[in-house]
Amino acid sequence: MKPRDRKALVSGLLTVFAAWTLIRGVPAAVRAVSALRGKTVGQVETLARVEDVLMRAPAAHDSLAVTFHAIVALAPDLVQGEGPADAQASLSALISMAAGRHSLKLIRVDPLPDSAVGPFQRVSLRAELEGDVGGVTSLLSTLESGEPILTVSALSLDTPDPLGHPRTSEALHLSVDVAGLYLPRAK
Amino acid sequence: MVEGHALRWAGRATYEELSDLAEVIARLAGEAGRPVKRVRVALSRDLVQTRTLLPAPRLRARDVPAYVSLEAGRLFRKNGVPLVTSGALVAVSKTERALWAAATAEPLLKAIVDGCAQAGLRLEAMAPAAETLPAALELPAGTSDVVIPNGSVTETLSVGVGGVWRSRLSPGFLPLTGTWVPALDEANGQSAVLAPAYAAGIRLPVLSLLPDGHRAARRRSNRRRLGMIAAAGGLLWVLALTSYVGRLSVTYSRATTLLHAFRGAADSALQARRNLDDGRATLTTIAWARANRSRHLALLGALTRGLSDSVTILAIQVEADGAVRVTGHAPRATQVLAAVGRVPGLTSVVLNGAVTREAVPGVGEQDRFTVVAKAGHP
Repeated sequence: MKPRDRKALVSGLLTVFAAWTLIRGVPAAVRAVSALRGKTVGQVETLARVEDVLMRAPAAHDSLAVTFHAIVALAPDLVQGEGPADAQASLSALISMAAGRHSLKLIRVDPLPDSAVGPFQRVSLRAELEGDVGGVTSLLSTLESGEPILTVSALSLDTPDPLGHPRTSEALHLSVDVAGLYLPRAK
Repeated sequence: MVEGHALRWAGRATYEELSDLAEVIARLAGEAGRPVKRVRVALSRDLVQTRTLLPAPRLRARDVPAYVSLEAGRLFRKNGVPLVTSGALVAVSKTERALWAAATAEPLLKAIVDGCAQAGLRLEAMAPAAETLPAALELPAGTSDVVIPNGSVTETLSVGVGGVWRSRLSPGFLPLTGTWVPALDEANGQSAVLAPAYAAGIRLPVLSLLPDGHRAARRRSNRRRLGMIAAAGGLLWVLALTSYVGRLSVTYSRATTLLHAFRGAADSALQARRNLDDGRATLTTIAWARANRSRHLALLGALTRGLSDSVTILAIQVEADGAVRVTGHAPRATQVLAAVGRVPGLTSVVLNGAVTREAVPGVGEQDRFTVVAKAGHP
């Protein structure tokens, strides 16, 4: 091979190598460096967030302790029960006990559908009772201001005999939809 | 020796043979008193042949040296000695160009080049002194012909927009055009002798009478220098890229290591934060439930207090959407409507359906009414 041929061959090879570098090598290198940069930036940002979380951890633990105490203090506000059936039974017992305490006759209790309220479940039922004005008033007072936290979502009060008998107290028919909150057992 | 526009040193030496030239150049460089590294050579008029073609042939500027070289036999006298030629297009006016060419005997130029190389001097330019000589003169504005007396002959330089484009020698003595620049005042009356060297020092000529071998060597040297600069630039880029990638890798590795180290504590802290968020949501829900507890007993109390004793309530309904319905008997239904409208917390109070007149046992005839209202609180 003559020196001139060798020079041409080397030049050709160098040209091919340079072209390959420009067309394939440089874009691939740019992509790789860009990917590495993206990963690094992401990792550094994650580290910064973790450091921030760790720095605030003592304060979070303190707040958590306070919050736990406040949650424990909520126990009387909730209807007892860890499931729908338990809660319905507890709420029925509460209504029944309140009716008995205020001289009301509990005619029937029908469960209503549950629904979720934040971390709690709402338990509801419809109760029909009969009694006098004092009993109805006391029952409503107990339901709306006592413990646990109950709410009367609907109410129907009527009197079968509006004039009544002068010597007997009037008879009222009360239908109430009562709802309360219970904390379901974590699954 | 010229620094900027200041003449620092001047020397003069003569030679008999071309073989003496190297020694003469070296001696002059040595006598300068300061290290001399670069040199420009101005060839006096008796050593150079100059020619001018006006108007210039239609040529591109880069083709002019080759044209002059090809036409050397027609343009210059050879006298049996090989010539080194050079040429350039010079603008005479805004519209006219001249071809300005020069030639010198090659042995003389080679002797100068060799002398400079042996003395360690880098030869920057070698051209006729006529081309740069006007730089040593202070000329009146608009001067187109510069007369320079030189012994028994006078050289007349034609100066155009682009510089000197013609040199003519004529016998006889004519006075100098203009005056020598102040830098030549310290030449002890030798201004005319030093002016060509001084002018070459302050102005780079367009023509180049460097021999072909020297030009080729200079081109190779320039290419090599350019290649080295490019290689150095490429190397710097590679170094910068490597450094950048290295820094990224180190940062990534360090961040990953720290994240692994913090994993346990971070998981615990995040769990605590999740528990805290859940706990706060629990408290918020209970607070909301407490705030939105029903107040139907208060509503019933307000309603019964607002109605007069002559009104008999048969039924009260409070729906889940806040609708309140009161049914009963009263002497006048409109009075009931007005009374219900005054109960706090009730709005949109209207009679529902037609009011009928009914006979109530023991009371007499009364209106049977149904009032519908909207409770502000469920």
